[in-house]
Amino acid sequence: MGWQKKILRVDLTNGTAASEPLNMEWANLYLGERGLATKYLWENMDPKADAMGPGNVLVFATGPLTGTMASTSGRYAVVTKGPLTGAIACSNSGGKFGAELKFAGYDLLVIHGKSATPVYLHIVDDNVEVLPADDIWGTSVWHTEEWVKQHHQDPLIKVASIGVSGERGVRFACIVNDLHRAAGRSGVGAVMGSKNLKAVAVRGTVGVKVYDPERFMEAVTKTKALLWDSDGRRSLTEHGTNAMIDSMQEFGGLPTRNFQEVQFGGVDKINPAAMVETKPSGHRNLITNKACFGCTIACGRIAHIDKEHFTIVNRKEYWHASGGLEYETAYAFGPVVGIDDIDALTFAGFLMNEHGMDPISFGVTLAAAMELYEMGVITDKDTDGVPLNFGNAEALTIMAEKTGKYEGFGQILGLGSKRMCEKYGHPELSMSVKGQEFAGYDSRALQGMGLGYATSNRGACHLKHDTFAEDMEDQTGKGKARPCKDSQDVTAMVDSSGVCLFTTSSWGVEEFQQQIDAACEGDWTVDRLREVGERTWNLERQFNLAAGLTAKDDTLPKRLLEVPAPSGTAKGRVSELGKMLPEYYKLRGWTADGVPTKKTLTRLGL
Amino acid sequence: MKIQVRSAGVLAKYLPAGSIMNVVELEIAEAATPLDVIKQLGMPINGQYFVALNGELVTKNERDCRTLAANDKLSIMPPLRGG
Repeated sequence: MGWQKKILRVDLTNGTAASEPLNMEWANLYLGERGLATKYLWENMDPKADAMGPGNVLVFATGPLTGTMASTSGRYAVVTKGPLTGAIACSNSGGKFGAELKFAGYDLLVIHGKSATPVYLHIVDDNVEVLPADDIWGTSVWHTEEWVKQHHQDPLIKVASIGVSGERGVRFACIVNDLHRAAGRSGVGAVMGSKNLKAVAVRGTVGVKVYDPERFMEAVTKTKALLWDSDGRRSLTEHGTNAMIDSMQEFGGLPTRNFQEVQFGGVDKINPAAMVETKPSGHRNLITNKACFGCTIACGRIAHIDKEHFTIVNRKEYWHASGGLEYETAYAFGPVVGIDDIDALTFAGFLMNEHGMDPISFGVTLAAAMELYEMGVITDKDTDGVPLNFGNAEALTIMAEKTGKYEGFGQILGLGSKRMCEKYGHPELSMSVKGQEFAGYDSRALQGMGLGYATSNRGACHLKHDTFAEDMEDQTGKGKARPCKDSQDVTAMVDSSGVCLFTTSSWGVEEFQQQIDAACEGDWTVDRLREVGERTWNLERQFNLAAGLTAKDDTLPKRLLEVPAPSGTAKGRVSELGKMLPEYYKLRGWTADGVPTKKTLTRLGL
Repeated sequence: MKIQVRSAGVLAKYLPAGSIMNVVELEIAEAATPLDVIKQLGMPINGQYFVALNGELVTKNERDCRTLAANDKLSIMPPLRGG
């Protein structure tokens, strides 16, 4: 068990939905969530299909531990072909939606086709309806969630929806659930919008069963205790992910002003200490922390904005508490655009959640626009009269709103940095891999991170591998390929289980094995779980190769390969990707052109 | 002699009273090493930290052999991870 052994297949073109048995042969090879969704995607669509066309398939997937007593078991993944990259997209979210989908009796939701008119899915266990979304089309995520709950007279419904940005095809639109958790990266919200699907609303009462309840609870109790006692968990609970910003600043790996610099003078105004500082006005940014379903970490931040701040002084609708700064939002609205106004950063974060956009891609795209503006390539005529200088907090919030509502220059920003920079004749200013923008780590200071960025199947991503420990100890590319490859495989397995990646602050594969083997029938060994991760990684690679990507896409911008870091502990260094990549391909069992060999594919059953 | 020590996050609690924005001036022994300072502050000696001295990385193996000088700036930061 662990799995519900049932999926829901929806054909939006015909407006039909029907359940079918989960393919257990695939579940035994790919476990669940990311891995299993990748297999369903691979078997159900042509990788060459237009990401925003009806031929793309959108999969919502839970894992065997989703909705169980395991810590952080609220996770689900959205897997599809990404409109930002043209590569496979895999976005992971927390909150409560994933567990609710599992409670309704489904492991996966596989969505095909395109509706002729706007619709939303309403799922209550076996009762599934494709309903008209005319009343909510053109409205925000926050309005949509409220409307659905009121319309169905059920406050316990969990909603995953898109904003106008997703409807209009902003390439980094995301899917937001529970108001401020999101399947955030790669533009999965734009795929949903292209299908005229506004929301998925779920209410589940079936529950979740595990294979060996007694052994499972023993494993859960033991692993929860291990997590609770760890420094990594403590840091996330007490300071949130933004604790990273001080370390990155000291390290000199904090991308600043579109990666022209690696340290930011305004860090002390936007770090965790600033979030808990009481200002003379009596305002304090942070209210409390918050946990997702079943989570014993609670890294989420709940914050509010000073009512006197220019962003909301006349906008009472924003005088409430909502999702606060995390490391990536702090980076993407702060250093990379040169802004140190914590209230403006927090407001921009609210807008991302309200309108359904990926803060990383938005912030880094805005940073590229700011550089273009300061170079004189674009002017006030292009930017609706808004001066796009680095450091302009007003410009940040205006452009966040314009992009969310798909208005004016926001439509250009909605292309993402790659397409926007190409449009203006400066592709080198896009800080991205495969078209997806970088997270808040500079790969001149963190060499393993650079290799992870370049080889990530969904484009630049900091969450698909873990080489932090190696990068802290050595700032060359030497010895980074092995930990990068191995951690990519482990991460793919974790992302296929139904629990949060942040558990790996204290859990190794053994801790996952103890829980998965008790939750699911079959002999789930450590080696088998590692192989699930490696198989998933290689199938994602196969999807990308079939979609037309090549080894040439496994690269970094010239700025990181050729321009030395100007300060910090890595001062003078550039990324050593050229040395790391051949070793990485070899370790993966791929050719020098980055193609899995027949031997590798056979070994993994692909 | 005195040096400047900076920390943050879960390690900030080890800084003595008087620290401002997680930075403190600390009296240390002559010829002290970064590891001596970690011990002096009461931080677990086997903890995973990121350490920098005057903006240069200090690896684990170097922490007990680099000698500190007056007015040095020593950063002892929580490990880089996730986010």
